[in-house]
This record gives sequence, C-alpha cells and structure tokens, in this order.
Amino acid sequence: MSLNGARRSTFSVISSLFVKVVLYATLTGGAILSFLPFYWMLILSTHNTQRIFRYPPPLLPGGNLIINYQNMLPVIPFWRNFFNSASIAITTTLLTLLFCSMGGYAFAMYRFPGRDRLFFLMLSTMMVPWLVGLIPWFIIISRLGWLNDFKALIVPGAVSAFGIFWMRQYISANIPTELLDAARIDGCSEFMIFFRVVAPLLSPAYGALGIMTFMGSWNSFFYPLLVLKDSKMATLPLALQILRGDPYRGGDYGVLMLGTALAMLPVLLVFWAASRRFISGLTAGAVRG
Amino acid sequence: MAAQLRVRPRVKGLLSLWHEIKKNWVAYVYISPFYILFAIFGAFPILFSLCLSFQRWTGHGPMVFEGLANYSHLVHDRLFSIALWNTMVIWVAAHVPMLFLALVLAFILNSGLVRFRRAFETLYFTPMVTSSVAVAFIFMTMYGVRFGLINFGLKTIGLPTIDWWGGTGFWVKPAIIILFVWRWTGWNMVIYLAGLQGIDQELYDAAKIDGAGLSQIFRYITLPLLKPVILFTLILSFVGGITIFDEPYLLTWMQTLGGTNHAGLTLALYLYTEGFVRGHLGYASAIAYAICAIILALSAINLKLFGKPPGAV
Amino acid sequence: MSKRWYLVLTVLIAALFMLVGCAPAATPTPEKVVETVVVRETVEVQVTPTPMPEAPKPTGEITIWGWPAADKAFEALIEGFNEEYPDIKVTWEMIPGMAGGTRDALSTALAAGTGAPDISMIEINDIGRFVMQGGLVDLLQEPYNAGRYKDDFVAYKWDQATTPDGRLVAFPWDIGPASIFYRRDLFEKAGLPSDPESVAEMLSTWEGFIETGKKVNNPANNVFWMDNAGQIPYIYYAHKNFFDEEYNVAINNPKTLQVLQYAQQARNLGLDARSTLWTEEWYSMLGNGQIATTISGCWFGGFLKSWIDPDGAGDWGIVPIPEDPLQNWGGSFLAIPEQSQNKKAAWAFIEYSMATAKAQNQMFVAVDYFPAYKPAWENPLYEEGDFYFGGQKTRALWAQIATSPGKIFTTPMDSVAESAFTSEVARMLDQGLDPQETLEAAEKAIIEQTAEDRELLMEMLGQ
Repeated sequence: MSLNGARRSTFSVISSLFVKVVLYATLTGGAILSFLPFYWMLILSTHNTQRIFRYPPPLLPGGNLIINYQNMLPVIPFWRNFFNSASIAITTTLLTLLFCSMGGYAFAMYRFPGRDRLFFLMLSTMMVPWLVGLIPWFIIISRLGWLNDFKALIVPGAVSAFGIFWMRQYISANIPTELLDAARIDGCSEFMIFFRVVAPLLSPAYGALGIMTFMGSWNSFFYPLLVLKDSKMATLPLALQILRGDPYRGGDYGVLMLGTALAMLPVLLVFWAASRRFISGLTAGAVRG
Repeated sequence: MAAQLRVRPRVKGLLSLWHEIKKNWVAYVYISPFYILFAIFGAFPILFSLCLSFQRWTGHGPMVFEGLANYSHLVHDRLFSIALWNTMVIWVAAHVPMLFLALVLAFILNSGLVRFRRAFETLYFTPMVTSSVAVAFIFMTMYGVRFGLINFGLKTIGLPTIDWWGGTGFWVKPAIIILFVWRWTGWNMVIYLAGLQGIDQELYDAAKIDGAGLSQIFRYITLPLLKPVILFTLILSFVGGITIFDEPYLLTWMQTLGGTNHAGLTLALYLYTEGFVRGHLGYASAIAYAICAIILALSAINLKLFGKPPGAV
Repeated sequence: MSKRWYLVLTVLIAALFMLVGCAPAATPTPEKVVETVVVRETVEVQVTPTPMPEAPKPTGEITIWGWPAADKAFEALIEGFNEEYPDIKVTWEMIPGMAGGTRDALSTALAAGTGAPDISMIEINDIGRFVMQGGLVDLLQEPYNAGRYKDDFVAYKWDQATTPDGRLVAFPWDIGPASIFYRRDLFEKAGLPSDPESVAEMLSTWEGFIETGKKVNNPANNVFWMDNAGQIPYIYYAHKNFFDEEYNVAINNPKTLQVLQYAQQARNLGLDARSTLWTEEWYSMLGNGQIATTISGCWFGGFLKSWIDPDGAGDWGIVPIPEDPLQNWGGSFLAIPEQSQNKKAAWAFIEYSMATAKAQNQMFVAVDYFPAYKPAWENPLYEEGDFYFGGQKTRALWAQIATSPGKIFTTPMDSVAESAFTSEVARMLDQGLDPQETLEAAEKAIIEQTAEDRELLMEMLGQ
C-alpha cells in the first residue's frame, strides 16, 4: 500500500511522515498500556506493603525481592502448586487437542446422519453459564470418588465444544478433500488417514487451541477450589488466594505480587516463544468462512 | 425392484439410514469422546439445574416443587433488573470500543506503514495470556482511591482524582470495562489482522488507481470483506460478555452485591450470590436459564440481522 | 514425518497415563476409615479386663476445614487434646478464599452428599445460611448433649447457631465484642485527653462522638476522624435485631432513623475518610495513623498487632460503642456435617476445644479469638493490661461489653438483611439521600431479598 512514486510534492512527503509518526505513536502508546500492568506487578513484587501503599506509589524496583520470596515459601508450597497446575494443564491440553481434532475432523470431512443436528447440539451447550453447573458437577465428581484427585479436573476438561468448533473451522478451510481421496486410493485405512495424513497438517490449529486450553486450565479457580483440599494438591490460583487471604503471614502485598508474577512468567515465556505459530494458527482458522 | 420400494418405503428408509450409519462408523468414533464426556459431565449438570430452576432447594433436604414461581419472582426482582441492565451496559460499553480499537489497530499494522509488526502483535496479545485473578490484583492497586497508580498519574498532570468505588458507583463500571478492554483488545486485533491479510492486495491497487482515498477504501472494500470475521468475533464476545464473572467478582468482592449502588452487579455475579452465598439454589438456576434465554434471543437477533456466521451449519 | 508423529503420539499417550495415573493419591476420605474405627473400638473393649467406669474414648481420624488463623489456634491446643484423646488423629485443612471459600466448599459438599469434612468452621455471615440448609448434626441430641453447656456461653452466640425449631447445628467458638479502637496520639494532637476513661466519657453518646470528631478531624493533614460513616448504622445491625420475634422486619423505628442521621451528619461534616473497609488502602491508612477511630470486633486487635500496625504499640486504646455498648461483630462456629463417619471423635474435639477453659485460653493467647465460653474468662489473663493498648485492660472491657444488658435477637435471615441494609446506607451516604426514605427503601429491600428464606423459616416453624 505504498504511495505511487511518480510525482511527490513536499507536502505529500511531510504528510506521509506525519501520518507515520502518529501511527507509531498510537501503536507504541497502546503497547505501553498493554504492558504497563505487568511492569507495575514486577515493581511491586520487589517492595513490601508499607512502601506499596504510601503516596507517591513506587515506580522503580525496591530491595525486597529476596525477602518476599522467603516469606512466600512458608505460606504455600509454591513450586509444588506450580507443578500441579502444570501437570493438570498439560494433560488437559493434550487430551483436548487429541479429542477435539478428532471431533472437528469428523464434522468437517464426513457426511453422516445427524451430523448437523449433533453439531448444533454441541454448539448450544456453549450457551449455558458454567457457574450453574458447579454443584451437579461436584455431585458427579464426588460419586466417582475423584475428590482430591487431578482426574476431576482433567477428564471433564478433556473435550470442549469450542475446541471442536475451532478444529472443524480450520480443517474445513485448510484440508482439501482431494487429499483424503488420494490417501484412500493409496490404500490407507480411515484411522491412518487421520493420524498420519491430516493430523500433521494441523499444527497451527494445535498451537492456537493448545494455548487457549492451557490458559483456561491454568487459570481455573472454582473447580479446583471444590475438588482439591490438600494444600499440597492445590493449583496456583488457589495458592495465590491463600497468599492473598492469610492476614497473619501472607498479608504482605509485595509477597502476593511476587507470587502472581512467578505464576505468570513461565506462561508468558512459553507464549512469546510460540507466538508465531499461535498467531498463524489464528490466522488460518479464523478467516475463511 | 421398484415394486419392492413402493411396498415398504419406511423400512427401506430406516434400512438405508442404518446403512449410512454403518458406513460412517469411523466418524461416530471420532466424535464419541465429546459426547460421552458431555453426557456425563455436561448433560447432567444442565438437566439437573433446569429441573432445579422449578424448585426451591437449600442444598440439603427436600426439593420443593414450585412451578414457575422462581421465574415469576425473577421478573419482579429489582436486583435482577439491575444486574441485567449492568451486564448489558458493560457488554456494549466494553465491546464496541474494544472491537473498534482492535479493528483500527489491525488496519494500521496491516497497512505496511509501520514496521515491527510481529513485535507489536505479540505485545498487544500478551494481556490475554494471563490469569484474571492475577490481573485483578494488579488492577485493584491501580484503582486505589488514595494510593492507586491511576489517581497518582491524574494528580501529577493536574486532573481531579477519580472516586472509583464510592459516590454513585459511577466509576465501578468503567473500572470493570477498562480491565476487560485491556485484556481482550489484543486478541481481537490479531484476529482482524488475520482477516485483513486474507483480502487481496489487487483490490486495493485497483481502488487506488481509481483515485480512492484511505477512508473510502476502508469503508467500501475492507469492511464488507471483513464482515465474516467481525461476526466471528462478535459471537465469541457474546457469551463471554453476558456471563462476565471474574472481573466484577474480583474487583467488588469486599462490598456486597457489586459495590455501591450495585453498580458492578452482573448477572453471573448475582447468580453466584444467590446460589452459593445465600443458598437459594433453585432461584440461582432460574437466573442461569434466564441468562441462557437472553443469549439465545440475542443470537437469534444476530442471525436475522447479519445472516449466518462463518462455520455455522 | 509420519514415524515422528507416531512417536510423538506414543509419548503423548504414555505421558498422559503417567500423569493421570500417578497423580498423588487422595488423602483417605473419612469413609475409608470406618472399618478401622469399628474394629479398634471393639478391640479396645475386649482388651480391657475389668468393666470400665465410663465409655471408651472415641478414636479415629478427623479432618477439619477452616481458614487462617485457625491453624495457629489448633496448633496451640493439639498437644493437650492428644493427651486426653491419644487415639484421635486431627488434620486441618485451610481452605483458600477464607470464610467465603470454606462456605462454598462446604455448601457444595453438603449438597452433593459426600466430600464434607468431619468438622467445618463456619463464619457468622454464613451461619444463617447453614442453619437453613441443613446437613449438619443437631448437637443437642445424644450422644453429644451439647445442651448442658448452654448457660456457659454468651446467650446471643448460642442462639445464632440454633434453628427456629430448636436444633443446635453448630457449636460456638468466638465472639467479637465490638468497641471503638481509637488513636491516642491523634487525640493528644488535638489537645484532648487520651486515656480510656476520659475518652469513654467524651464518646458516651453519638452526639459526643460527633462533637469530639469535629475537634480531632484534620483532613488538611490527611487525618480523619473515622474510616467510614456507614459504620455507625452497621454496628447497630451487625447480625441482629433486623427482625422481631414474629420474624417481621423491625428496623423502621426512631432509633434507626436517629442512627442514620448521625451517620449522615458525620459524612456531611467531612468526618469520615470514605474509605472502603477491608481494602489494602484501608489497612494502610490505619497503619499510617490517618484514621482516628474505627469500630470493630475485638479480634481486630490481633490484626493491628500482626500486620496492620505492628509498630503501633501504645498508640491505640479502646472504648465501648456510644449509647448501646452491647455490640458484636464477627465470630465463628464449628459444625459437624451429617456425612461425617467419625462424629464421636469430632464431638470430642469440639467439646475439648470449645468448652474447656484451658483450650479456649490457649487459642485466645495464640490468635486473639475471644471465647464465647464464659468460664474461660475467669482466668487471670483477662485482668491483664495489654501492652499494645498502652496497658489498658482490654480483655476485661470486652468481657464486660459482651455481657452488657440489651436485647439481641438473631435469625437465619440476618446476613441477607445486613447486606441489603448496608447497600442502602452506602447509597444514602454516597448520594446524600434522605434518611427516612433510606430507611423505607432498606425495609423494602430486606423484605424482598429475604422473602424466600422467610417462607422456608415459616415452614420450619410449622406455620
């Protein structure tokens, strides 16, 4: 979209420069705003409560990082909780990727009786607010004997309607039926077609859905609250709540910010590393209609 | 052959159905994990709470059937109307600027007038990758009336400070909206960016040859071609917007029922309060199904106005 | 390419099984301990050669749900408990989210019929809800016979845990006799006497409270008389007296109107900092010495000492609430869910920890939970001066406050009423509305929001 270079007056050169400056300023301003809360959080994690709530608020790092870290560990087994959150999130994500790609593939590539109705049914399940199902969900979990067990969080989360929707989108937009026909002619069984031919092509969609599922599981609070009772079994959001709510030991806001920062950092790092794949997955999945 | 078909058409129909099912057995296997898990963990809660919405139950002891009493109570419930109003206001006030902003940002990034596109994309997307609980803590400190960062900034440049949590509760909604917009703009921007990349460059070139200015290009080429993508983001924002819970809950938890003047009381927060805090489980279920009905109604309107969204059956 | 994907898939599935299968085993739920308990009891009886004069002591494992600082409290008494009951193993779990989180977890477990602990802590805000929900053991029945302790407890506390049809579903732990916490140094700066007797004199009426406030209030220097004017009406109706004995709303009376007017006066005179309680900013203002008085329960002293103002020894004192000293804020209970498989052991713990002076005082010393168990007050430590409060005999004062004359009538609908009431009061103060209209709006809101509960209540009473 560059300007036609034939005849450029001074005015057009200056105005295009001006426009560029304005655009850069807007974008950078927005980027700063996006990043500011993180910066603030990192700063606060190096101070203690007294300093945080004094006027003017601190804008530069303080010296309490080590102390805050030392104060945090006796209150919650942070790294254990971290490991718990990670195991649950990773397992849930892997299962979701597997089952949702299977489901999306079936809806996209096969024409079978009831396909449209089943798909619509699945979509409509997304409309019921999750809060209301907490108690009946808990009834089932407790009858299955899965209290204080990670299975309670992994298995129900292993398939999501959104995931199937997403995969179906991507597959129908990006996988030509000719590919399947060619594979069939070559003698592949239906299962082989999916696992060997189609699945490898889905990696951008896996990236996108993977991050979304991972984040959903990582940040989930209410379900773990009801199911996990042992502090050693707890996940990070629960641990952070314990930090926040314990006036006698964890009431220091700096400690809380440190815990929060440590909880977010690894996910941020993984995301920044994987962002290319993720964003291109969004690209290909969202566009075609 | 034809005679046989005419004699037993129904059975023939059923048999061919069965044949179709058997032929496609693989597909059913593929979709079965969802439906099995859904049958256990999804269907039961949905049906249970639907039944519950016609009863009165404290969580223990007998459930008392009350017919439509909960629903008729809903209609007259002042707090429900407040919650409904709040939710709608927050949804519109958050989504309209956010989607517009995302679109503009995506347009700028796509226009090729600025470099470092990937870096900007990633930075804007980062808020999405965080936990609402963690982010709410941070924003709480920023929204402090005396010691908050925002009021500090305002004071420094000489503007009056904002009474976030008091007064008429006017600023409670903006507090929630700002948090929400901050979080989701990047996500929508990236989606629009993807959509923009799908538009053929040749169309732009042809328009420029015809002498079209930037804003005309935007209005007559970009927007119409982006319609399916915009619809996609609208739908995603629907359900999320109507059931917004985390932000109001975390920001107003120390003041009952959504803060001053119930300004932050959303439908989901009201559901939680009635169900868990007050133990009115039947009524809470009725609230949930009222929310469903609203979502259904809005989706129906959406379909009528904009036609079928991409990916629908 | 395909070989690699097979490998990846295999690894995935293997990892899956490992993660899911190797997930740490759940701590044994009470159900699984049942057999052991029964066997052990039988064995004990058989082993004892001569007939025992009393029943064998309960044994087994019990789990308690609570929130901090209950763990510190239990740590203080567990040794003594295990001397009495060597065969009961006690585990406590601090639920994330404090009292609210515990309530959510407990109510869900009761509704589901499984997953509840042997003992659960319940806070005053939630006790009404659990009284209505059911699922908790009636402690007045055999073999607990909690009724014999009734007169040992502060009356209103006992009533709060009693259902309208006379069942005791939770056992009282601590009360929060409310008082005004004031900053001595700010009184002195205003040229006023700061010793508790004089201050109590000055603050013996609400008018006196406002007048003194005008002298101490100093907004130019960021010093405020009180944190939030809404505290004045709040303390009057903190979990009590919203309803009369027919369970009709009873707030529409001259006294309430007066109290609302005092609150509005305080707000209009700029005497309050308009700060929201229980926010980080509020804690800071208290710690920074920017608030001259705050009304709270006695447990607030513990908060001040631990983290709000740990360096503030000598800066604070307490006086009773003007005009009606019998005020309470907060308190918790211990309850036994019916699901528990170890009710006898659970009751042994409750009885020991809640109804013996020794245990109550051990916990009091550890975490400042003021016993509702009156015999505990006969200990000399209630006559001690508190160094933090400038040597004032705060405990004796709180005990006196808790037994002041006055009427307290509580119902299970009090929490809901309180939240409706405080919403209207906040509105009145923030928007400068008329107190009489606010009173009527509050009455209407309370009736609306407690309608369902009242219906249930009437059924329970058989009306």
